[in-house]
Amino acid sequence: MKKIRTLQQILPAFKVNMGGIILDQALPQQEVDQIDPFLLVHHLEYKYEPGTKQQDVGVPPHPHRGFAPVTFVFKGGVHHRDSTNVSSVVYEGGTQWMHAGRGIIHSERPAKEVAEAGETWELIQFWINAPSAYKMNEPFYHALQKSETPTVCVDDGKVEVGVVAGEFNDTKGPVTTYQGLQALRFTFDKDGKVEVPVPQTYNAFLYLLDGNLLMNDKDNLKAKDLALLANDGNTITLEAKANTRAILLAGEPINEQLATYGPFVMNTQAEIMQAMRDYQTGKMGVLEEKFD
Amino acid sequence: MQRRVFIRNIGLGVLAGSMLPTFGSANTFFGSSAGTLVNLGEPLTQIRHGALNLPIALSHNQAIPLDWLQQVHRNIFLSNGFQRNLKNDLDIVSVLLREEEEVEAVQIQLAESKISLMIGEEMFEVVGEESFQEIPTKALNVQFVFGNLDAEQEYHYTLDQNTSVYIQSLSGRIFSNGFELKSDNGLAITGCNALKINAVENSKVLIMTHAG
Repeated sequence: MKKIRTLQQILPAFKVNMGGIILDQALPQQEVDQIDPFLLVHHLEYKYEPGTKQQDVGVPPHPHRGFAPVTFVFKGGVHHRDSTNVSSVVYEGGTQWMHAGRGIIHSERPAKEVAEAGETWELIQFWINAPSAYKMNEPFYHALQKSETPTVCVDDGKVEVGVVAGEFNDTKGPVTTYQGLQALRFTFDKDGKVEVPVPQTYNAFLYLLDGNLLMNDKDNLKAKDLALLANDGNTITLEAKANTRAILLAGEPINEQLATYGPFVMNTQAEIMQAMRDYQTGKMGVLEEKFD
Repeated sequence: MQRRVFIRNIGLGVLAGSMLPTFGSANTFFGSSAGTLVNLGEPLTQIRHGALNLPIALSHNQAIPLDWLQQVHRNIFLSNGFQRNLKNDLDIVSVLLREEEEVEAVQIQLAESKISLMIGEEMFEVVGEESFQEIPTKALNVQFVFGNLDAEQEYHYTLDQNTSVYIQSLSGRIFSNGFELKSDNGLAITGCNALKINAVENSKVLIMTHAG
């Protein structure tokens, strides 16, 4: 039976400086450290100067262990390289889903042609914690271009829903996950409406990249708001008051002790120290980037 | 992982309570060798997703003139992911050692009331007020010693002949063998048989020694 999930809290994103890269951080926040299993939501939009060299921009090689950093690409393209010898570019509308497992080193830079042409790069990166049983698994990377992402159109095409993980309207997302997850990408034309089932046991939130949504006929959500949903129902309704792009993330909580420090997400501080040790001694591999 | 609480005080040549009036006056007495100051920069604070400027795995920081010491870097991982919290942040000094083809990384966690050191799968906790505390397990023939020094005191630490040493202030300010050490630098010395340390402030100090 349908029951509306109400709004628990709105958390506007705020600016952070990640080593010279200024971006909007919707999670973590002062009052909310995680929305189990989600640990981080970063929204970055940047326009490059023409003639920019790829090797001079983006995020250079760095390690991860114990969780999945996932990137939704909205403008331009993101070039992922990693220590398992993957070199992959995903463009607008696509997704890079990586599980770091026991350790991987990767870099994330704008696609070469995006940087050189002085185009805009826009992405959201979010982190999904892995249950402890899977933290030391083999790392993997799954690239999903827009054309490979199942898409559902509703309301006479006014709402387009990309189903990356989980399910929407009997359409399943292609990404394999370690726990129950739902990851949806919305593009609304003004006045578009959609009803979205979200399992009640999943912790869930919406994040708006831009535009304006009315949720459940009463809650006004604006650009760069993270709308945390209460676990009191199984459905939300969304109506666009303006052209809007948004994402919905929902997941079964892991309910384990959490130690998240820098690029590593484990269960204890000792395990973080082990991760640093293993990184230093080359056990996570080595990444030598090759540029054209 | 095995945890060991270490409270042994080796007390080698400690002149606790002595108040020698000048710094540097005993350099010739101890015959200290020339040292090389290593500029490390201030400890890096890392937000969630922070992995900024981590040294490349297995690389050798060329500023450190010791073959057995490849990297020393300090990161403060912010516990809430974006703001400094002195009590809860994870403050780690990461050391990469090398002996021929073998490497080993040692992690040193600095917390308010104790220092924890991970060598292999063993964790040592350094607590108490003793001036010098020596970790009983070596890593690739490197001895780790922690100093807990009172302000305006002078300390002498005797070593075996021809030892090479790396010394760094983890907190506070010291002078060692004529060099001023704070949290942004360290001192590498070869062919050393003693260390003289003058603590300007209450200081915690890391000393690594390697024979030959």
